[in-house]
Amino acid sequence: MKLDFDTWFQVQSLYADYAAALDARQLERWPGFFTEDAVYRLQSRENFDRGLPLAIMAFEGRGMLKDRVFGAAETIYHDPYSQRHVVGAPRLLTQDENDGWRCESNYVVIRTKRDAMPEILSVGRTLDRIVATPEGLRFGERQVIFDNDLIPNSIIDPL
Amino acid sequence: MKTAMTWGDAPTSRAPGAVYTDDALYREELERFFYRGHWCYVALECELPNPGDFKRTSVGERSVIVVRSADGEIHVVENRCAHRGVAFCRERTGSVKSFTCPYHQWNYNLKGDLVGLPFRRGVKREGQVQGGMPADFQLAEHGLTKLKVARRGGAVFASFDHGVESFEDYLGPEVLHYYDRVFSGRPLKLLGINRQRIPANWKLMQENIKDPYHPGLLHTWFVTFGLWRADQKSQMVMDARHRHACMVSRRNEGGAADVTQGVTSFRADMQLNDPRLLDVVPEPWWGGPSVVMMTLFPSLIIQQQVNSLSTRHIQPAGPGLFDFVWTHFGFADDSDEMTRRRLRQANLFGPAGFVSADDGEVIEFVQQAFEANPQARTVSELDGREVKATDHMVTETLIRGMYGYWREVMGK
Repeated sequence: MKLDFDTWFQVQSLYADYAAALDARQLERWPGFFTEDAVYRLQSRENFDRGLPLAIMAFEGRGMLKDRVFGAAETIYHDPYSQRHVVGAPRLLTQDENDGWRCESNYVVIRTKRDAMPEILSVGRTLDRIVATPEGLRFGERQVIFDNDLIPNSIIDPL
Repeated sequence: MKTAMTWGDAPTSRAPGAVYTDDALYREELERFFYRGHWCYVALECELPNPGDFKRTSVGERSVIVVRSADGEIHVVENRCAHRGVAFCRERTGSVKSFTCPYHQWNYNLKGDLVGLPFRRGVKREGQVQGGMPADFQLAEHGLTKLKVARRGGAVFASFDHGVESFEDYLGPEVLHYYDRVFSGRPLKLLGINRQRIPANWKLMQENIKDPYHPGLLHTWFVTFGLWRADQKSQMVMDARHRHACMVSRRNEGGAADVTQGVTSFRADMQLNDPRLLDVVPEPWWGGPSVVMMTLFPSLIIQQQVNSLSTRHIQPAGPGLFDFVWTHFGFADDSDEMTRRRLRQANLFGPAGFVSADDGEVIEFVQQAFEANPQARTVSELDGREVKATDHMVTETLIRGMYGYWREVMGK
């Protein structure tokens, strides 16, 4: 299994399109970046480093991802804000025919509320497993590990 | 600026905004509630399984270390070197044999006693002793500040006040009953910690969990799926002094009913794409209620919401700010399936939770409004102006109870 330029370009596009969809708050597009049985976790670095399983969002499969989209868009009352991802180039960790491509990327998400200056909502890295599907590359697994264990009040949309 | 403290003819139901915003009042609260006469939460024992294990946390604004010594005892000491005041413990958790301050290497054992310090007897040079501590310097007088410790059923509480009443008397029999229901001594398993910093007064979080009025209105999930709503059998329980409380209820089937009429957060059409998010399995120890939310004044909320369990630790940091630290746990003998269930249901809670992210948001907006106008007052008069235990949730009696106690202790 060789990572050719075309595939690497698709990996880059997956990262860029994912961030663009969330920053545009096109939440309904979010589950489509994952495989049907994908795992998504948004977890503090504190829990990750200590091997503790608790996350602040932990979903198994597209069904739960859709439930989060509904929650974020329709049921959780919150101060309106916009968010902006700044994502570093992914770093390839391993590749395997069955496992897919495992990559890591650094990120910063800046939150801007209506009457406030921008603030860093989250900073950390993603640990991803990307697989090829007939529809293109998808995340089979995405763990977002944030360095700032102390969250500025709340996180509504996924990162 | 001095702000007026007016309760008017409503002794506990119309809190003046200054209780949330006034710095001098807040400093007085730290002294009277967090440092004197009260027990504050510090840890679960399962966070410190072995001798030498420690956890850094806070009592009020003061940093403390909870540590297990070789004999299995748990000690709580202030994180402040007796020499020059360095808050020397920087890691949140770890395992050590003793504590050494980096500044001048004063060394303390796990009970907080000062064991030694460099150059205590001075330095010999050309037959002369230079420096050293005075001859009457006593190690025993310069240990770390030790807190009184109470352990019960797997949780640990501490007090700077060694004259504080027993933890059991502090809770009182009604609240202790529900405390023991969760912390029965069955060994616990730590699932993890979530932390959020909420720009609001610490009492607003106590009020939030003494307020059975809002869950079936603010939180769509609660009303739609029958987790908490006004047509359920419930009890509002307080200790004799009304500082602690338990909101006790039983889940019903949810769906449309008289009680959902006009409730805009109710969603008749809402179905979960993945029902595992709310795969509730009743546990024998519940003994009936499917939810018990406890507020232990001043520092703790104990959550049992169906299969999800957590302690939520309030750590104030000024009149308009607190850190809210959630420790999720299960039981050591839980099956893997039950652990997974507790973790899936944890999606409902914490800084991103389906039914609690919005609590942090709304109390932030309360704080903003009172900071702009501390002369304004609240109106917590659902179900009257008096304070009494009730067998329904259409009431704000627990909030009134807390302010009755607050006024008694603060004399304001």
